[in-house]
Amino acid sequence: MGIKFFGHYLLDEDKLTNTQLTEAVDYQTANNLSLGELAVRDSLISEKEANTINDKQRSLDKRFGEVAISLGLLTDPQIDNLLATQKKEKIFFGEILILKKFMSEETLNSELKKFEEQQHIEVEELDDKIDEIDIDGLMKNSIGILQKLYSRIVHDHIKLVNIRKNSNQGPNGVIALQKMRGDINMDFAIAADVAVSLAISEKFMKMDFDKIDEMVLDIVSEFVNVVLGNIAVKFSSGGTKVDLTPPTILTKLDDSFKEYYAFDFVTTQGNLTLWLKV
Amino acid sequence: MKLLIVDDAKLIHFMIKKILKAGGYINIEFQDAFNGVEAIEMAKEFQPDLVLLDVVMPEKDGLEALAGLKQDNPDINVIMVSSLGTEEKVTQALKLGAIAFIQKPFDEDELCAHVAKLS
Repeated sequence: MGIKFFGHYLLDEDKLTNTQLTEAVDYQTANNLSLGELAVRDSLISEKEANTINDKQRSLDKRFGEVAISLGLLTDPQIDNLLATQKKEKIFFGEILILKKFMSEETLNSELKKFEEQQHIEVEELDDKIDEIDIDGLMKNSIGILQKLYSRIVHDHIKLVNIRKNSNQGPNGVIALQKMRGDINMDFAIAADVAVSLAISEKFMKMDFDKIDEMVLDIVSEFVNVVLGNIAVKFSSGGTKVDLTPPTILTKLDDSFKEYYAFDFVTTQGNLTLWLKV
Repeated sequence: MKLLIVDDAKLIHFMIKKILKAGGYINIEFQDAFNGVEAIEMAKEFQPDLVLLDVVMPEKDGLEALAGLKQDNPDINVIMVSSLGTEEKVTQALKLGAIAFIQKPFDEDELCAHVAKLS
């Protein structure tokens, strides 16, 4: 059980093979174009201009259209047209499975129904679990800020799938820890597997990385610093005073992590766990 | 133009230089400090036109360093670049004489615009 993407659910239920899942995801990525890709394809802007808009969008946390208009690269009607085209051309994951004859429409509909029912229960259970352990919304907000910044920086989906305690098991590609001290005391760590660490690094620096090196460690630390800093800002509006220790890289999740709450996330790239002790 | 970057993360030094280079600022002379103590010492010799200063650092944090830099040279231009943009830190930095506070993750254009004003 647990929250997952539909493709992973089908994999676990033996309704899809690994190869079919990869083929379907690749097909979807290649055919569902972003607004920027559509605008370049339709010769409305150059690739360089699209990159400029994407970079700005990443740092300003605004929609593609808003940034493109503010830079004078696209007009309101052009954005409306692009959105309409995107909607018209969008191909859903389930449609690809039928198109590629990986399953019948009947099987798809019945699996989708089972998946949605299961996920609805899982999401409600996770929400209840967070509410039980949360203090002044700290955990919920921390999770929200992590998800928002991860999506914004890495341009990837991130989904909370599990909450646990009394365990120090988790991804150990890169582990970075930082502490908030003052009116709020919180120990905050992110453990990301290798693929997620590399994805964060590549998007953060707009460079290619193929292995965990010193720079990747620095980038994941900085990512933790940015997330925790933004959490601090969120909680400081009422005059709350907090300081952050510099982030540190850990070589392993030792026994002390059994005292933390572990929030497991899945992304398209891999797994990431947020460790929180308040 | 002389620019002193103060951040305990080497990565940020690399990132800022990359952004400014891409923004067309190719004639900047850089110096790197990795904590507040180094920043104050280096600024005396280097006499930067602008200091980009992190808040969260070991040894002497950014706000302590800012006070020290201003004590040595009240006219020094300092911009805080930090993820910890809490109301308290921003107010304190501006009171101590910082000209701006840029919150991470920062907008590359915002950084270039500040540098443009001083170059």
